[in-house]
Amino acid sequence: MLGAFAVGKTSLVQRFVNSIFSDKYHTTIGVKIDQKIVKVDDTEVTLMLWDLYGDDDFMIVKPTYLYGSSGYFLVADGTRAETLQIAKRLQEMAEVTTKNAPFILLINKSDLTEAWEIDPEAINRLKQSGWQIMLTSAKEDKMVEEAFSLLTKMMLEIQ
Amino acid sequence: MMKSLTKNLTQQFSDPIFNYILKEIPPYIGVVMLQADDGGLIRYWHGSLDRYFDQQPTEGQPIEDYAPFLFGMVPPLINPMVISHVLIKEKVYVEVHILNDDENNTWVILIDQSKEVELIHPIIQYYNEEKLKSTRDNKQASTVKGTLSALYLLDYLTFEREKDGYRFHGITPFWFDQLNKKLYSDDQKIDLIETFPYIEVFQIEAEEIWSSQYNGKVISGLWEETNKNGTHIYLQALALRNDKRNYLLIKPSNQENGMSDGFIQKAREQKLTLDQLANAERKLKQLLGFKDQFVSIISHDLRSPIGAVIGLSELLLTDEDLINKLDEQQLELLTDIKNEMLRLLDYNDKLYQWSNLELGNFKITKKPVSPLNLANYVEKMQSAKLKKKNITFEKKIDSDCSFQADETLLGQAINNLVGNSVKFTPEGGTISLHFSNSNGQNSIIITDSGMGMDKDTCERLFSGFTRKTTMGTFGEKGTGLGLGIVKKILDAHEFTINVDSVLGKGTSFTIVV
Ligand SMILES: Nc1nc2c(ncn2[C@@H]2O[C@H](COP(=O)(O)OP(=O)(O)OP(=O)(O)O)[C@@H](O)[C@H]2O)c(=O)[nH]1
Ligand SMILES: [Mg+2]
Repeated sequence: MLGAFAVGKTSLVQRFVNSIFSDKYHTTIGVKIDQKIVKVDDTEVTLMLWDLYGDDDFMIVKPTYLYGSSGYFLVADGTRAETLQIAKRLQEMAEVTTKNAPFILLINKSDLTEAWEIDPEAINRLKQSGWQIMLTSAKEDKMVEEAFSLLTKMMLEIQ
Repeated sequence: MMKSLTKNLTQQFSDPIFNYILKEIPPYIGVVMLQADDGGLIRYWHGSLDRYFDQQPTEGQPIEDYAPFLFGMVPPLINPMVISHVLIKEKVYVEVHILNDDENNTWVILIDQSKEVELIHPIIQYYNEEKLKSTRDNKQASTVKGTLSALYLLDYLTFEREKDGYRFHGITPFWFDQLNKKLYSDDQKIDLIETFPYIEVFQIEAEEIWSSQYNGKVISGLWEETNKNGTHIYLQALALRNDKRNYLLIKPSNQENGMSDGFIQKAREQKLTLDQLANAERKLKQLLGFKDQFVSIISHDLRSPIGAVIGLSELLLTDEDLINKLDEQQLELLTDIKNEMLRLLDYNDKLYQWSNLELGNFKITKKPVSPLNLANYVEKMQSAKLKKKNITFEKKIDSDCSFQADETLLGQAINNLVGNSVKFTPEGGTISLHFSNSNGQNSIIITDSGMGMDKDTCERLFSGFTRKTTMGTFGEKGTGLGLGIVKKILDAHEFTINVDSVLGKGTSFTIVV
């Protein structure tokens, strides 16, 4: 899970793994690794989910965390336009370190429509350049399951 | 036997890894600093000294008086001089660093080691017991293994890195037993990555140290684990190379308290709030802009239909044939239409001015103005009403009164003020407009013999819109906009306005330019 701070990386993982959500913000220090077994077309896959701390001036995500990962989510917060820029920057780093592993851009907090800031045009442009993009809400459980199974499929196809 | 025991103990403590950990790993807490000049007198201090001393030092106090444990060590015999585990008061141990700088000042740095000593204590205890036992059993434990095995007392989970895996030393520390984890072993080798997947990534960094020729260490980032009871713990790994042997130590991190509850968490929360505020402000400004634009357009477009109705009513009122046919009441109604429409036009014009001022569409261009022109303009604008109420209008212009302003806008402001005075001055009263220069201070003073205002009204006068408007002496209605516009115009000029009013006597406005 890669992205700026407070975009909802931890919330997405917790929603997916433990079916829980909390409104309280508790910033992740370091790394939290969770595990979940998913079934994709009758194949059981064990996902090791690395929830990383948010990238900002205080803490910069180290490329070493990405070595050996088979895929990644870039997470942005739809109500904070600058988090999309950070996602793009992280993607450039991740592309190199993971040797082009598959990824999906999740634009999270889709439940907060009235505070929405990310321009649909910007999303379209990224889609046209070949990015997989999904709008998610960890809070209302929208597209979370779908996102994880799509990424799992993408990772399996590569292998 | 006593002799061999002490010898063994010193051997244990000189174990380079053990010393290394003691010296390098504990976070430096409670650092304080004292500085003395070449004569050993205190010049400067820093940090919370009350941790170590009962009172604060004073400048010029001999440092050995203040800190007796430094006796004979200032200036230091060797530079720098470091002494560990100095007991300076009950249960308080420090590491003392004494350094001399180029100017022969002495710097004393104290680092709190009380906690560390507290931790070492059980180890000494442990060794004492172990050694007593081993001398009794006449067995000799391996030195390295012995020390490493005891590190769990310092909270370390200890492994030695070997070619094909990790070898576990000692027993598991308390925190590990609280985790939902176990160590997976296969033929004495531990599959550490199965237990801590994080290590897989850290190994990449660690390998650089482990494969090097030199001693060294690298500390990992933090990772989070969940305890059996659902609480969280942050762990941190340390890869060490010493005497051609490689170690991996894992320990709970105490950094996360300071980090998550403290600085970073707060900074991030603050940033989120600020972002939200900035967003709200941007949206509000946008909305306000829309509102002013809307008002500006509407009031502009309303001008011609209102003007048309006024024109038509004037046409009717000057049509003698028609007038003759109307009875008195009908004539009054027609006159009312015209007057009300005139008032609406005035209101509308003010709205237009207001919204354009808000939009910043009126640019101020300051030029030298002619007070006479201004006074004449205002008199002309108000002449009809002045005549109607039989008010005397006095103009007074000091010959040396001169200043710069936007003549059109300032004319509007003065006109509004005088209009206001006319409204509140009873029939036969007096209004004066004075362009004054008193000791080089230029000002414009408008005085009337009107009904005056109470203090409360005076204070709220220039606060923009007011819903509450006061009827004039002839029952004139106000727009509630006029004085707001005056204030805007004066603000743009950086002029100030003061009001002085006595209820029943009159009001005086002073514009200081
Ligand atoms: N409304 C809404 N809030 C969300 C959603 N997802 C997360 N949040 C909230 O956003 C805040 C941050 O969520 P986290 O999951 O801690 O974000 P993070 O990316 O892990 O943050 P860091 O660990 O600091 O990098 C929390 O207050 C969450 O409750 C969502 O889908 N909708
Ligand atoms: Mg997080």
